[in-house]
Amino acid sequence: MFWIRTPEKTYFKAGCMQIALSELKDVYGCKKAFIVTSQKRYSKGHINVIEECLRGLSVQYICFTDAGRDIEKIRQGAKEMKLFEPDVIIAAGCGCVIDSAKAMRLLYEYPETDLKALSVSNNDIRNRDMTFPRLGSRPVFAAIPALSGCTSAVSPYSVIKDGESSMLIADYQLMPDLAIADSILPGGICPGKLREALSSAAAKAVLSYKSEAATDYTRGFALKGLEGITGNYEKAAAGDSSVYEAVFEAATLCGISFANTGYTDKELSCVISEIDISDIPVPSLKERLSMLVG
Amino acid sequence: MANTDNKVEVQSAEVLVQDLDSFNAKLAQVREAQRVFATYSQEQVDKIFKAASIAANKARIPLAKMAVEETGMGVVEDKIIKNHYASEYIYNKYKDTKTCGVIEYDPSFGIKRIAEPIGIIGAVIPTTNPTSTAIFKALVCLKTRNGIIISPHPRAKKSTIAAAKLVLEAAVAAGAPENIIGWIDVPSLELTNELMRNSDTILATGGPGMVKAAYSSGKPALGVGAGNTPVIIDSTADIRIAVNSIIHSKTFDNGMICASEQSVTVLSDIYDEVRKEFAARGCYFLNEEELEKVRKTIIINGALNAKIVGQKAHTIAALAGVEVPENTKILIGEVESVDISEEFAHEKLSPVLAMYKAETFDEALEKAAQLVADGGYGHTSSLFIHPAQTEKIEKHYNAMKTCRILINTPSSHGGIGDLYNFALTPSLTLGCGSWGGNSVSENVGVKHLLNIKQVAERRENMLWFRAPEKVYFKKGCMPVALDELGSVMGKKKAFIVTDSFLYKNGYVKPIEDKLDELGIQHTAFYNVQPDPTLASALEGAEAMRLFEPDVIIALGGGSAMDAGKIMWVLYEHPEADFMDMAMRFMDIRKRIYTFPKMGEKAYFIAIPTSSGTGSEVTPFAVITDEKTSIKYPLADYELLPNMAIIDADNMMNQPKGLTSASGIDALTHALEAYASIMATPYTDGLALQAMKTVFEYLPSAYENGANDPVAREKMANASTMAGMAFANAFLGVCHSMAHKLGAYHHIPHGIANALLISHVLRYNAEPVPPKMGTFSQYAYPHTLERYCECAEFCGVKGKDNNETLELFIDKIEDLKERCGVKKTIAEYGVTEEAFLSSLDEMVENAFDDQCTGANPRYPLFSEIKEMYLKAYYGK
Repeated sequence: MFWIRTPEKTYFKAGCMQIALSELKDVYGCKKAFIVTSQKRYSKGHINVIEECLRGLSVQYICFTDAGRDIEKIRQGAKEMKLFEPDVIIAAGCGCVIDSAKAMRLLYEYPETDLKALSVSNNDIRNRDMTFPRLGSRPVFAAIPALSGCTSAVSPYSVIKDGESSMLIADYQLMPDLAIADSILPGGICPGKLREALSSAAAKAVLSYKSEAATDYTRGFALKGLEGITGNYEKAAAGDSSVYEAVFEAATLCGISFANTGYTDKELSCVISEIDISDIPVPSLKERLSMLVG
Repeated sequence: MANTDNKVEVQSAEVLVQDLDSFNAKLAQVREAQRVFATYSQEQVDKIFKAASIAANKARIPLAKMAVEETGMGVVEDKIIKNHYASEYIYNKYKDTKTCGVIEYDPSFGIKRIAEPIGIIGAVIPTTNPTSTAIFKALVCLKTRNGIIISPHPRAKKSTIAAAKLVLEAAVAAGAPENIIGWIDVPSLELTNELMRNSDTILATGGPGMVKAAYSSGKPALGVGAGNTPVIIDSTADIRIAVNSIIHSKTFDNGMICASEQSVTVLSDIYDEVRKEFAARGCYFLNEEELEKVRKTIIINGALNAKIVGQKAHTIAALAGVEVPENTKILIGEVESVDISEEFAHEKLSPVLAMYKAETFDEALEKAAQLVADGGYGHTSSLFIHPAQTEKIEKHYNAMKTCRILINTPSSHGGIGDLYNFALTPSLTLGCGSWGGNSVSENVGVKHLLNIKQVAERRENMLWFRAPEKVYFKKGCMPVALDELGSVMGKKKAFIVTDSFLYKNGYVKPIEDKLDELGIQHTAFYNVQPDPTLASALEGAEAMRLFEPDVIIALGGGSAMDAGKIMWVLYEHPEADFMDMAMRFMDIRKRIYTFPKMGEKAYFIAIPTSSGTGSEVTPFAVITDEKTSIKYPLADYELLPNMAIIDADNMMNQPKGLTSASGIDALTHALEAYASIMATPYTDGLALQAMKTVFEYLPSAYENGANDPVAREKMANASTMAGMAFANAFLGVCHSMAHKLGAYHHIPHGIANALLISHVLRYNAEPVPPKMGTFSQYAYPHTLERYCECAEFCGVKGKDNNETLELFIDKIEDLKERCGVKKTIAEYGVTEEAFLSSLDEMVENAFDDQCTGANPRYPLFSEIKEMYLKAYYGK
């Protein structure tokens, strides 16, 4: 049995954040939000628009600004969540922030979880020993990614670190409920990190396309994602903001594909230049991909 | 010595404005000054605003003295407060307010608000508040880059002009253009009217006559009205606070604030105590004889006697021939009638108060309402009551037709705002709404003196991608997926919905076996028709209500899954109004009806047995009202199944006709989702994969059926992928037309789509359509290009786009032929007569179908008709 699973709601388009977050009030009836972000993002004021939005919705909020992949930070975050008892968790930032928040949420809801035991060494997310019974009502998890966080926002994975070693933990409990991909948010695109973010997303899409677990469902997403990245990469790298929305979408599509084909530890930090792209079926796409690699 | 040339000169003080010529000259000067002022920045304006406020404040004592001396009315010390308030409070309120240029910008929504001045404000200043009102109006005009010309009251012109001049000088010294503030030196009715006619907006403070003149001038006016403020003292009131507040307010500037109390109605059970407190605090209760004398003094020939306005109690008493102590605060007349014939029921603008007794709160309300009607509509009313008496307070505010309703505060100080309540805007011009013939019902401030422009940039609607939480597939996955019901979800009771054919032919058995294995109790409902009816849905819902399942499993084609969805709704929300649910919408997120939350009682699993309608992954369900034969499409993401199980084992033995019809249906889903104005990269990927798969595998699935299990599985996935695509991108006019074709002539849904799709493709591909679909992300007609993308993905390419499209259509026609689809509607046994007689109705109904809205080309009736005819005759 295979599957295709996505967040309950994936919202996108430049400027969609406020409309999407209004659901916290109108649909979910949330009153307390726990925002997870990085110190850098916070001090640059990138979280202000989210906070302002929450104020408008009469949602109380608190900000945890020390997000990171390190297991100690995750434990700390979970502890603070426990004190605050939020009904919505908002992870805002790049991949490591979102991964960090996902793991925090898991620890917050299931405090006895041994994160290391969740780490995946084989492809099948369903073959692990651990399962999580659904407990009563749980906080809503909203991911508001920067470009480099788009793939994490739609996946059931989190890469965490214990000391020097990284590990991938995977479970559908980690899948965000709401993915809000808004390219116009402050700090959404760091021009310096653009190439890295898009290459990484493209790498995931190619790996996913070639994976044994690829299906017709995932291939569609992967190809569209790759098309979006390669078609707009040059303009985006040159700072043309009119294509930012398109690359945001493209990265998210790569993420959806990747999220459903699983990956192994060795692929954790794969970069596009290491991957064999010779068997990409669409010739024009292959050509453009090689430009990205080069 | 009027200015005849266009040069702006400083000599405004030297040229007296006293006739038409001098007025017009002044008008020209102020206009020119305002023209320049309108270009000033927020920073420049705020500097001027501050300097002017400071200057006005510094002069508060001399101006107050001048006012009392000139008019012979009021109290110097109170007028000092008024001037102080007019400068300090107004400055404080607006010092940070943005009034120039871009005052708001939201990049997310792409909207900018820009403030521009109105132009020249014509300000009429009353004799009761000659300096404070002048200061107030001048300041708010300076803050908003407007010019102002003041028309003083003849009795107060010297002090009014002195205030205006002072503010002007300070403003100019801080950088304002010369002549930004002007005034009429020798006021007359003629000149006041001329001012009104030439202003861009009139700020009129005064009595009803003057307000009426302002509104009749043909220019926008913000006026006020007369106040006849009734106060009620309820049995639960704090008597000392009430009485002393009233005294404080009524004696303020000898009662000349329009919001001041004119009468007090006291509940009988506290009357004596109230009376005692008034008397103890220096108020004089007139006896019968004195009352009559005072009556005849305050109102003469039905109008207020000007001689008493703003005079202290002792003076008024003396005028009436009544002797009272020198330091008397207020003359109180205990009267009974609230009719206008009672003099004390009028506005008195002096420290003279009417006092009424009421047996009940309702009686007090009646009296107060009548007093308001007598001469204070829209102005102010007041109530002293215990704050916990919320019911009475509500009754009071529902009954009072006044724009300020003050609870437990003095009404003069309370009405002008920011003194006894800090959310009420500080102002000396109090709007009375339509009740008072005003266009403003609140306290007037800077927002009323601006024109706001809004710059709206194109933005696209937020879009989404939504799918069932779990979509499981692969041949043989059904029992594995169903295992979760026990192992993960702990379900106890399952209700299976299917049709009788599937039930009787053993399709349900594997499900039942699995449920038995998991120890889950189950029952099945299989009275589902090909076009599910409301009646059978109600029947099923009733059965559900009795069984109380925590999971519903809908197994079948579109009919069984749709029926299951509807039953699910009726089971969880028996109160839901069906007609409301089926209401057509333009934007699914803006629809009038809010679909009730689903999943509170049961988890919903959809298992398709045909490939297919895609219903297992869509938020749609179509139900037929068997009584009227009308089909109702329901659409809401609450209807999305929680789990979809696509197991080709369930589809192996689809008969050829079904294989062909549902296969083409899947193709048209993919094509319409791709062309839709709501298509996004999320749905495009799925749609393309779906189309390609159908082309590659449908022929074999049709010809070989169960003997080609790969083809069966591929088709199953194609159907679901297409379903996921159109669940988010919606469909188009082909489906709209197919729905009606099916409804009127009983052609299976998939076949109906097949008969129409090629005509629709050509129709949509027109690069110059008469009408385009309306949706922000849909920039311009480009459907030909879109179809060519589909063609290329499916391996078809011509020398140009037009040829590519034709080749693509050929490919579709080829597929249809290989799968036994006939060429025209006529060939399906629909007689010409039957078709033509139903045509007009079909056309209109197809137009109105919910699917039409997402079509890239917005169809005209005639165009739909043409497509139908082509599909009927084949050309």
